[in-house]
Amino acid sequence: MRAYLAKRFLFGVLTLLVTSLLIFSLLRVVPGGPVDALIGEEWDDPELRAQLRRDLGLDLPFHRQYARWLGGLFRGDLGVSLVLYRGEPVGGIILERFGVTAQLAFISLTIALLVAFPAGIAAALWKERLPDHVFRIVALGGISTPNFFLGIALIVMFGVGLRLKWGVGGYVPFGEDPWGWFLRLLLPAIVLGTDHAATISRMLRASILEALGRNHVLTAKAMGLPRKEFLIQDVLRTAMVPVVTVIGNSAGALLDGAVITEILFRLPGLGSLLVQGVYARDLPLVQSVVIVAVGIRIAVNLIVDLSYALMDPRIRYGRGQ
Amino acid sequence: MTEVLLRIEDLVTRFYTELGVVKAVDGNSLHLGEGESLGVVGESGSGKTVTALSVMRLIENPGRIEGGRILFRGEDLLQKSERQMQRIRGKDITMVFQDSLSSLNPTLTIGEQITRVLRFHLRLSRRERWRRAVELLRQVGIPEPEQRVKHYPHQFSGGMRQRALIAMAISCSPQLLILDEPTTALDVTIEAQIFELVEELKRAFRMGTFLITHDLSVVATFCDRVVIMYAGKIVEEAPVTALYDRPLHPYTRGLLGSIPPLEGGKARLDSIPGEVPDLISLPPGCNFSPRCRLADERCWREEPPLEHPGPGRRVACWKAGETGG
Repeated sequence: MRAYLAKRFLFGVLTLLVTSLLIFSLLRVVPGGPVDALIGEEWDDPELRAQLRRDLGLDLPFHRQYARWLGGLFRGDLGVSLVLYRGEPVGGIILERFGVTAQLAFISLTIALLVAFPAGIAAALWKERLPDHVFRIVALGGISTPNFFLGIALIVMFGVGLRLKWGVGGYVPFGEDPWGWFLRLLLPAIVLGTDHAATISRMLRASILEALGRNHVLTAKAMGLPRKEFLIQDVLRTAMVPVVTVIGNSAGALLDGAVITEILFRLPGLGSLLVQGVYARDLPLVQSVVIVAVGIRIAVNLIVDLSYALMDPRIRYGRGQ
Repeated sequence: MTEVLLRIEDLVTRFYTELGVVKAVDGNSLHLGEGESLGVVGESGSGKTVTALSVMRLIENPGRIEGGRILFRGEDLLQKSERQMQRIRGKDITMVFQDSLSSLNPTLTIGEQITRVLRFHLRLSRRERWRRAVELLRQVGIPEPEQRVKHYPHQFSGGMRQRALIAMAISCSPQLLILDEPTTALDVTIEAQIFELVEELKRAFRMGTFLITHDLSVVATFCDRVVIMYAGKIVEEAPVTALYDRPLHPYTRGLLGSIPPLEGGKARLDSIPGEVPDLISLPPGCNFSPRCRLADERCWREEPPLEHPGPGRRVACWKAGETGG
């Protein structure tokens, strides 16, 4: 187990290194940088430009700049915002924004699971009958509706049509107004949750149908166990591994920040921070946001992999192959 | 004369598939006495397992039990509600399936799987259930049952898993134990041990056993009577010794001819030409006629009735007893 964890950790760090180099190079290749953003492209004052580049460390050769950023990352220093939040450390900004994204992800995933489980189970148990057909169509709709469309539709309905204060987005901290906090996160959470709910419920359906055909389900029936008992212990329990993989993917995707939805609903999360950073050409901010998002994804994947062992005792890490 | 434990009368079980109606069990009758061992022999698709699953009332869509009666201690199981059947399954009638690894839940320990059966059928405290689970494992010959009860199926060997399954099946002292090819996945030495165990348990509890197999040599050592099935129908029934001494149906003779003799004998084993017919479109006349060396006009045209050529014997063949030089 310890060896397995060490190996996974090492691979995670390696992945982060490679992506960090990738992001860093890409951002340097793109024309325009913080200097242009700060003094404007039209202001043609080479003296001032050179001065600014020196001050910001942008005159250093590529590898020195990269090494500086990387060194900072290892010390837990994500750099300083140059344009958007002039002089503020990026770490603090990301932490604050991630809080909003995490709250949104939590509500969204909760809604998705509350919908997906009953739907997936019902679709499997009434296979090829009405509930299955209904959920199939709804799920297809959920997967194929683009988030921007669903988001706008909800804003038009609740915000414009019903003139509800929370229907047009915005963010209120939980501590200030818990109910307002929930209402404002509700619509974007629904927007983000629909395709996750659809994917999870479809996976659950397939997984349950596969489990229903297993021999140990027949044994359970032959031992006279009631339906509820074998459906939970023999069918659902053994059907969970692939479903948890999908749930983990959803959690990872949600925690990375949702660009379009956060902007539509004016939520100060990680996704909208990234877009603002890009527009402002705030290089340190953008590269650190991306690397944090990658780190979150790697961590979520590891947690998902470790959770398999809880569901299936045959899965053990680190011993043998 | 022993009491009749199970009597199946004119059982018809069919599967309504997209390709057509599969006549899996086609009007069969058989009986099993208390403490008696009945061997049900036939190739795959002959209707052995479907017969057993019909007794358990575990036939699922698109299958349907369409006719007949299944009397267990005189009561028709086909008239029972699903709730009543739940109380009978696992308690009075249990079934052990062939592949022990897939027949056990991989996510529960052996102990959890045995105790949950006890929980639904017997009024025992938690502590008593676990004590009984350990006792059952000991009874089926699993060493160190106190430790083993906490293990998962994948930590058991194939033979041990089959023992554990049997322990689960006998946990509520059933009167009828159905074994569906319980040793197919096991080595011959382990196979012999398993049958010894079942034999012991059978004697201890006066349990009737319904053994499904395609292996006539297993039947010879373990069963009192044999029923031979072919394409959904019983073609021959006889006490074990009588069957081996003088098989009446050409199919039975074919099955016996495919067992290697212990010493000397022929270098080549006989095989039955052809394969089991399609149960959706059965041939006219006798189902076995297309593969039968003795078949003539009448066999191809008319179905032979099940007749009683002697005490305890039944056979369905126009040429019963003929060897056809």
